[in-house]
This record gives sequence, C-alpha cells and structure tokens, in this order.
Amino acid sequence: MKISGHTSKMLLWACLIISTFVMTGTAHATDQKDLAVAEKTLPLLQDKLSGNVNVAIIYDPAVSTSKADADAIKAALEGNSSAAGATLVPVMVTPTELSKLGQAKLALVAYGMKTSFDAIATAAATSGTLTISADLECVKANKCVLGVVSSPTVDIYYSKTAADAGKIVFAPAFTMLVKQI
Amino acid sequence: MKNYNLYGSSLLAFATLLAVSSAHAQSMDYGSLQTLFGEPVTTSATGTPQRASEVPANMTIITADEIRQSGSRNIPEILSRVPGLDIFQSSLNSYDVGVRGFQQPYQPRLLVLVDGRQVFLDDYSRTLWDNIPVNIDDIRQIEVVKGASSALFGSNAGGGVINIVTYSPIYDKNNVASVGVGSQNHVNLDGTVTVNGAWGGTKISAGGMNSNPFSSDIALGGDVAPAKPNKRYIVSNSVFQLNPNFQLTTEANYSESLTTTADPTDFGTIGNQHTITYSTGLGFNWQSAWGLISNNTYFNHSFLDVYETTSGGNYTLGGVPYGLTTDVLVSQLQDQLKIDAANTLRLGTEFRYKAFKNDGVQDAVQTPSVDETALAASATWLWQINDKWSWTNAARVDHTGLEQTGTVFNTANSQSANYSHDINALSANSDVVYKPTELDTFRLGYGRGVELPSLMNNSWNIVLNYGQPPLADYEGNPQLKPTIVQDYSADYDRVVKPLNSDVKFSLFYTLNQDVVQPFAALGSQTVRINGQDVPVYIAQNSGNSSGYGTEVELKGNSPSGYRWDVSYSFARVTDAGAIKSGVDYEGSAPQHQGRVLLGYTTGKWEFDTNTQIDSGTNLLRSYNGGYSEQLALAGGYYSEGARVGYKIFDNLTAAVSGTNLTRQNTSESPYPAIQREVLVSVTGKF
Repeated sequence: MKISGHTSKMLLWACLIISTFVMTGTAHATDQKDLAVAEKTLPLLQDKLSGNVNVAIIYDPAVSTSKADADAIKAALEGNSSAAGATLVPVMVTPTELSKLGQAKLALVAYGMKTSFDAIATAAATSGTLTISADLECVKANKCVLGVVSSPTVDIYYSKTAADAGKIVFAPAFTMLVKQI
Repeated sequence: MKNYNLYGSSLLAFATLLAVSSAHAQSMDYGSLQTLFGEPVTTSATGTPQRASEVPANMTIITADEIRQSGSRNIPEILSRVPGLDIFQSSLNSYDVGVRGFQQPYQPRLLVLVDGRQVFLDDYSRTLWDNIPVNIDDIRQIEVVKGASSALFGSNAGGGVINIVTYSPIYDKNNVASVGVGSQNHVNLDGTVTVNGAWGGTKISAGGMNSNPFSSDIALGGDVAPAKPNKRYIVSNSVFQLNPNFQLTTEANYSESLTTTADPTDFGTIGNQHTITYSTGLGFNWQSAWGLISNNTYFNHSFLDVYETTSGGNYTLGGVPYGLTTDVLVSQLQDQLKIDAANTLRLGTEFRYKAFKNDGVQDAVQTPSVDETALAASATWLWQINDKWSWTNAARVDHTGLEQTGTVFNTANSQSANYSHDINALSANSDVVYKPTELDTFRLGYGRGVELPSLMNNSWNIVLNYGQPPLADYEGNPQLKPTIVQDYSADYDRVVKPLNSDVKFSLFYTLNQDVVQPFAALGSQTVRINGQDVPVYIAQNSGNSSGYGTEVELKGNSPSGYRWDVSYSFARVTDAGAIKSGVDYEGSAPQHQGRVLLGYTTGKWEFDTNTQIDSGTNLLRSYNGGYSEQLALAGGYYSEGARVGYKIFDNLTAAVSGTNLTRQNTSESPYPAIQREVLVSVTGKF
C-alpha cells in the first residue's frame, strides 16, 4: 500500500503526540502546581522565613529525569521567587554537594533521587533544612519532611521522623491536617 | 419613651475595653491553611482542625465571599442559604434559627459561638442575633453543624452549632470600613482595624445600626408598639506570641441593642427588649510535648429589660420592664494530641458557672434567683483506619449542680428545697466516614445531645396579681429533667466534575425526649394568693418530639464567573404528649423549602440573586388580647433577594442589595409581615 506524503505527515504527528503522552505518563516531574503547594506550606513553619532564602534543588546530574525535573523547578522558582514573605533563591545541589544545605533553609528534592535519600536526610537533619518533594517515595521512606500532591486534590504527606530529626516545627493545626507517615 | 443613650454607653464601653485590654481570639491560621488546601478548614466538628471535605459531620461553611455576595448585614439572613436551617423573622432585626424542622421563638436547640465564645444567652436559652458583637465584614467564615453536638460543645448544642469565625488578629490584616443606608431609614456604620507583627496582633471592631419601626399592620392585642431597632458594639481581640510555642489570647466586647421580638413567654405576643451584653476573656495556646494545650476562659454578662404587654399595663418603652441578669463564667482546657499517623485524641475539661436573677417586675411578685455550677470532662478520638475509612467517637459527661440564691415565693411547686439538686448528663457522637473514591464521601452518624432546662424554666416565678381574671401564677420548675436528643443521619457527597459542582444528599431522624414546656396548665390546681385561688402554670417535661427529613443541594461555580447553589429540604416533625403551650414544634417550620442562589462575576461587577420558597407554618400566637395563645397558620411564601456590587477601585466596593424585592410586605408567619428592604453600601479595605 502506498502511503501519501500527507498521510505520512499525519502518522508522524500522531506518533509524536502519542509518544508525548507516553512520556508524560511515565516520566515524573514536579510541576508548577506542586511547587505552589510546597510554597504554601512555608507560612505554616514555626520559624518564619524572611529575606533572601536559599532553596537547594537537589538533583542527580547522572539521572536524566532528575536533571530535567531540577531544571524545571529552577526555572519555575526564578519566575516566581516570592513566597511567605521571603525571596526564594534557587541553588542547584548534587549529591556530592549536600554540605551546601547548611546555607539553605529549604530543599526541593527532584525525582530520581532514591539512591541518595539517606544522604539527603542525614544532611538535612544536620543543617535543619526543610526537605520537600513531589516524589512521595522520599517522604514515605521518612527521608523528606513533606511530600506534596497537587491534583486531583491537594494532599500533604508529613514525616514526623524527618521533621524531628531536622528540628523542623510546623503550626500544630498543620500537622493535624496532613497525612502523617 | 425612655431615652436610651446608646452612644454614651458605647463610649463608656470603649473606655472600659481599653482599660481591660483583654480579649480571646482563635489563633489558628485559617487563611494560610485554606490557601494551601484549597478549601476552608474548621475545628467545629471535632474540636481539632479538619478540612471541610473531611469532617465527620453534616457541616456547611459559609465563606467571606459568600457573605459579601449575600449583600446582607445580619447573620440569620446569611444563614438562610443553608438547607436544613429555618429562619423565623418576627421583626426587622429579630430572628430565630431552627434546625431541621424544630423552630420556635427563643430557639433553644442551637448553640451559637463567635470564635469559640458562646453568644447564646442562658436566660431563656436562645440567641439574640442582633446583639451579637461582630462586624459582618470581619467574618472569615460561618460554620454550621447540623445535629447533636453536645459531646463537644456542651448542653446548649442539642440540635446543632454555629461557630462564627472572624479574621485573626495575628495572621490576618483585616482593615475594613463600611457604611450603608437604606429603606426603613436604615443607617449602619462598621469598621475593623488590625495591627500585627512578630509580637502578635490586636484587632478592634466597632459599629452600629439605626432603623425605623417595623410595620405592625397585623399586630394583635397584646403586642407592644414596635421599637426603633438599633445596635452598638465594640470588640477587641488580641493574640500575643510570647515565644514560638506559646500564645496568649485576650478578648473584650460590649454590645447594646433594642429589639422587637416574638415573645413566647407572653403568649406569643410581640415585645421589646433592650439588651446589654459584655464579655472579657483570657486564654492560651501552648504547643507542648504533650500536644497542643489550649485554655479559653471567659466571662459573659447579659442584662435584658423586657417590655411585654399585660392586662395590668402596657409595657411599652415608657413602662417599667422586668429585667433579667445572667452571668456566665466558662473555663475550658483541652489537649489535642496526634498519637500516631492514624489516631488523634482531644481531651477536654470545662468549668461553667451561671448566676441568674430577675427583678423590676411591675404588677408581679418576685422570682427566685438560681446559680448553676457545672463540671464536664470530654474526649474525642479520631481514627483514620485507612485511606478510605475513618471513625470518630466523642463523649462528654456533665455534672451540674443547681442552687437557689434568692427569695422563693412559696407557691405550689417552687419550694426552696426543690432547688438544691444535681443533674448528670451524658453526650456522645459516633461518626463513620467512607471515601471510596476521590469524588465520593459517605457518612453515617449518631449523636446523643443534651439540652439543660433554661434558667428561666428552672426558676421563674411570676405571680400576676392584677386583673379579675386573669390572675395567674407562672412557675419555673427546678426539678425539670434535661431534654435528650437522639440524632441519626446519613450523608452522601459527590464531586460532579462535568458540572463543576458538589452534590450533597442527607437523611436524618431526630428524637427529642422530655421536651420542656414553659408553662403547662395544671388542670384544677390553684394556689391561694391575696385571698384568691390563682390558677397555676408550671414548666414541665411534657413529652417527646421527633422529626425526619432530607436535604439535597447542588453547588458549584464555573471558570467563566458563574456560580449556583440550588437546594431542597424537607422536614416533618411530630409532637407526642402535651406539647401545646409555650412550645409546639409540630409544623413550626416549613416542611418544604427550596432555594436557588445564582451569581455571576465579570470584571468589576458582581451580580447575585436568591429566591426561596417555603411551605406554610403553624406557630403559637397570641389571641384573646394577649391573654392566651393558639396555633396560627401562615401560608407558604416566596421571597427574593439580590445584590449588585461594583468595584470602584481595588479596595473600594459599592453595592445595592435588597430582600423581599417583589412585594412591600411578605407574611412569613403569624407574626407581623416582613417588609421589603433595600440597602446601598460602600465598603473600603485598607
């Protein structure tokens, strides 16, 4: 069967669209809504943020999904850097640079960091850094303090273990409203 | 006519506020939590913070946007949008709010709070809505819980709870002023100023309203001439952040109002009441290793001059009223503790002291005074069994001691020895919530509520020593049993995404046991006074009243700016026993109610309409010149309201709103007709 040029173009587009859907369905990414939810938890910290606040975006350059997710987070933060009365300054941090968490009150953990969860948790506990991720595996492993879900409805997962380790304290009402691990 | 110097009183009150400088306020950051979760949060269902979509109770939360869009300057009109609530209006500023078919003037079944402080009055056990010291523009949300809630809130919450939550002095910066003028020579001026920082926050609200008399074109014999309604109030709330884990809260308020109201204690006549209330409070929130420990201690004082018509003289504003003084001291201590991921516990204790006396009764002999002291312990356990199932249980035990402190007129029943006795009462709630999907929620609930007899029903003793006849002896009864409320409910909520709507469906059955009848005739029993045999009427437990019904609501909004709220409610109440005098629930509220609220926002404009259709009611109303009462039927009616708002600047809005727009007079009940009202207002936020 002969395929016309027009038909072949349509097939090509169809393949592109389908592949996009497939990639979207399988690849994980922290989207704008997730970030917005993460930012909205900040006013509920007992120690309020103010001024310029370094936000560590923890990613693994060796993992493509992690790098892509981190780049998206960074771009989103640079576009909207104000939250809870503070100016958020994104700082990219790799697993070998976790000592930088000492200068960051907040860390956003990108997807694809499972192998570094332990190191991230240890570093964050030492520096008292609030760790948030849209990758719920992190909070469910008690390695991140918060896990955020933005759709279909907003849900917050909270690891008391990780919070206690980093001496992160939220308003009591907040801890009663979230899903505690 | 007696000249009430409300302005002078208000200034005095303001000076007192500054001197006292104490106030209690809720200090949860409602705003940040609502922004985070995309829905209101509340503590009114279980005493612990919960998202509106997850509460184990039939709850409606009216938001600040909905309050503004209603165009109303009074709370009962705002509540009229809630299916299952019946609003009985007997004058321009007098309302009673009934829950699920149980309605009567001086409604005793609904506890009303402002930021957790009771504004329900313990004299007759009712709420004088127009006296509540709150600025409508300072209300963040109104939380309505239908069903017995005594296990959390105590003995006044037999049929439900309304908690009015205002903006926080520490977390919100609500600076607003509003002026309104309208029909019936209505003028109102209200304002709120908030100052806050790292130290905490302070908020002061003040305002007032004047209006002209309501039409009394169908007034009956025994009704007094309507007063010119007015109100003045001032409120101060503060939260001091003493350290990161400890907040001190203070509150003080004063309110004064003049109301023309249906008076069920005077054979269903219309009377006038001049009311002064003030309150001071102190509390704390301590985030401790044992959970969030909170204390809320407040003192409420209310004084009423009640002007009724009697055969001995027309107690108009020029006459001598009888006065009721009530003092209430409440101290609540609770601990909220998240034990683990699945279990949350709330433990509470409460001390409550009430002192009640009345005086100044013309043509009547004195009444005794009583004190009530109550101790209560309560617990709520929230068990999140898994992602789909949760189970909440609550229980409360009240021990109340009654004591007579004044002189007792030793007539038929109110012997001095009768007063010293105790009442023990158990309240409970158990609610199961099942969420099979993100879109569906099922609730099954049981509640056991307790309504303690009102202070008046416990103690009043009015001997009408004039007339030939009607000479009568009306007595309270210190031996009254509390009314026990048994509530059963089933709810289903579904999010209908294609319609951008939520659908709510509810079924309920309620049984009130040992309903208190304020004055029941004792047949041939008489007491001899001034050489004459006087018939005796006495408060007594007179039987049961039960009701069942349903509510259906479709509520939503579209991205294009449209909003809608369409609902239907049905409630059928049956009285058993001799409940026919002073209280009669059967038919007291419309069996059928339909509501349609539509709105549209475009640019700087907001348009809202509301239409309500009610079937008829059967309320007790005076006859025979005000010496007796009988059931009087009022036919069904419909009413329409609307509001148009225009944002002149980002912080300045003008609006025109109105109620009962298509007719000058609407007969909603056997009491005087309700007039059309139109209001023009300007509101600025700074």
